[in-house]
Amino acid sequence: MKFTLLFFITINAWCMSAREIMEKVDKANKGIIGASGEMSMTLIDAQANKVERLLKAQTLEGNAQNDKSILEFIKPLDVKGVKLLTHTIKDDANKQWLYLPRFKRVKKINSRNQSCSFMASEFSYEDIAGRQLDKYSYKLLKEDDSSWTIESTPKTKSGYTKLISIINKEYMNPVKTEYYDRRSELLKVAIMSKFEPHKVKDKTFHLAKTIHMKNQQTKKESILTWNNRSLGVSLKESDFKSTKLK
Amino acid sequence: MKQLICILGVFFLSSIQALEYQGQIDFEHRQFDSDADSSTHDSQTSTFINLNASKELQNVKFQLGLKARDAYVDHNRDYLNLDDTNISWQASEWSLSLGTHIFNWKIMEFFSPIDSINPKNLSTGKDVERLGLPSLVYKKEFESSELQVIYIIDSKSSEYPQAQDRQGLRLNLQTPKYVEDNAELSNGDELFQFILRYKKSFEDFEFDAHVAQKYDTSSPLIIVETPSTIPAALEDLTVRPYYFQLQQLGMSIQTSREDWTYKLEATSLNYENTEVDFFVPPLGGITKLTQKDHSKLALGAERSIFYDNNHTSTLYFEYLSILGTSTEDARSLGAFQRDVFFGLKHALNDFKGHEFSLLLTYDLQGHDESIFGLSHEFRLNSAWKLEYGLTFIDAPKPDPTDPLDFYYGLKPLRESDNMMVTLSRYF
Repeated sequence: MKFTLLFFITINAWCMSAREIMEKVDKANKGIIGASGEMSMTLIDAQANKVERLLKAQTLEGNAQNDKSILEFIKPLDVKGVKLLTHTIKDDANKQWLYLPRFKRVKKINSRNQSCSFMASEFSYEDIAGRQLDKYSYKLLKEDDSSWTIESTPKTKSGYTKLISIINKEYMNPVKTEYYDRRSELLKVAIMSKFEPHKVKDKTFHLAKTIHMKNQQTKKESILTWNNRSLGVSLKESDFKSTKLK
Repeated sequence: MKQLICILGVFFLSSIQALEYQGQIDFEHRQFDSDADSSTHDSQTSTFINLNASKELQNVKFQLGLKARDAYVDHNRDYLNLDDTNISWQASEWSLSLGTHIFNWKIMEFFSPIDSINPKNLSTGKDVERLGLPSLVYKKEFESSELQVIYIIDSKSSEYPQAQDRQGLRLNLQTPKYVEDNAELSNGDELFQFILRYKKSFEDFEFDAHVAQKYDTSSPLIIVETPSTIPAALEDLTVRPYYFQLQQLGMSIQTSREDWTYKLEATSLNYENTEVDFFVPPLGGITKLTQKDHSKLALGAERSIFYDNNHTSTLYFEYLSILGTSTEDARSLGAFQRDVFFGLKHALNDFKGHEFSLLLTYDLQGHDESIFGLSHEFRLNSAWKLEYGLTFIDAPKPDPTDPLDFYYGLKPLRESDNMMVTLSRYF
């Protein structure tokens, strides 16, 4: 009987499709409610020169993959106070607005093409906005005791032709992602590290504190580090409107 | 001196950790191609200060906005304005704010006829800056829309370039007056001034409409007042902007389709039909003038192109037309009557944030008037930035038989090609 049960569980896991795995991963990361913290980004060019960027981030978890976030720039100082509001849309292009404090102006951004660099880093706007389940189709490439290797192919307009992610079964989050460009050549590799547990109500989330993105073609690198990240933060939905950016 | 106090103030405010602040000090030098005319003082260095600071205490927010200029040669161009300085009470779905406010309704880059609520500072020598309007502002938020009720507490005039400034009409303009419905002149305290504004987002569209009753500080009539005796020289005449009572309707809509963002702006301006006297120099004779009703229409399209090397180009196309009035009357309403704007910004998206800009405006009414500008900006480090640029202005010679022709379109700016270098320190 014990053997039969074990056999059943194993068969069940093998039968889980890539989509089902990603749904499980998505579900495991639901319940954050709201998140806030500071992000520092170290940009390193091919000659190893470094510059620092600093941002404040707030994310409000929405229903059905419709999250809302505000990124406020702190450094460099010429963009201090600039805010980027993003409404992620389940199966379409995200909506974005930019607040420019120098002109006291909220500018609507055409976010259909999200592949451009975010603050001159190796992260694109698409990377920063996060990944919505329904915007990709999935293929399970490999599974072992500790991880799944999943290939994700964008269904909507994207700067990538595919992403290959290794998802840690304990953390239920990727520990490495490879990004392939429009010519299907390897463009970037992201390594997620320093996973920290965050408890919200009765649920524990394991989130990477550091993401190290290396561009394989230009040899530039960007290291994104979260500081003072808080989860389960109560944020007001009304603050995530374009009219409230000022 | 007062600008020096401002600079010290910026350092002081930036040292108060409890305040949210951001600001910049610009050291700008502008050099004109032909500044040999001793009547102008346009080639000079200036210090500009722009500071915004705020403090939130639970539901109450204090905000301070300050702009100042210290011109090193012509001190008539100095200014110090508290532009967006107010106190507001903020609830979850509504807010009430009292003080001076900047209402920025601009869409895209150049032509924005609905963005005409605030009086302007036209003497900065660079960007036109809005001046804070003393007002009480109530905002009510709904699920996907917003209603604003703005009561204008006190009138505020625009600031104009004076005679030594080629970017103006080369006249010393006196303090503006407000024309009441009984043709009397006032300080602008007789009209009940208000604006109702409604904004709504739906699908990929953003809709914005307003109705306003106010004095029009954006398009004054420049009036030569009747002197008590015929003056010996034209310089002895009193020339003054007159603001007329206005009922304004405006709307804008913008949307994104594929890689493009489009805008449409329209505004209808209906003036109180009051006539004022205009003294026709040099010998006299009085003409009755009134501000003419008209409408403005602007169309625009914007597209960003992303390259594999991380560069980004953004293209802008905009069109402006004044409607509902004769071509002759339209000429007196501003520098642009039926014009197109083309803009290109190319950002390298590198560490230093190199960005190149190009702009071109062209008059479609066959007046051969155009502005062409080029600029390049980049960061020196995380606090300093450098920008330099060239501006070329093309306009035909004024008709010598028509004394008013000099003041139309871009003709006052003729022979005003210039270059500028700006070093900015950010806080």
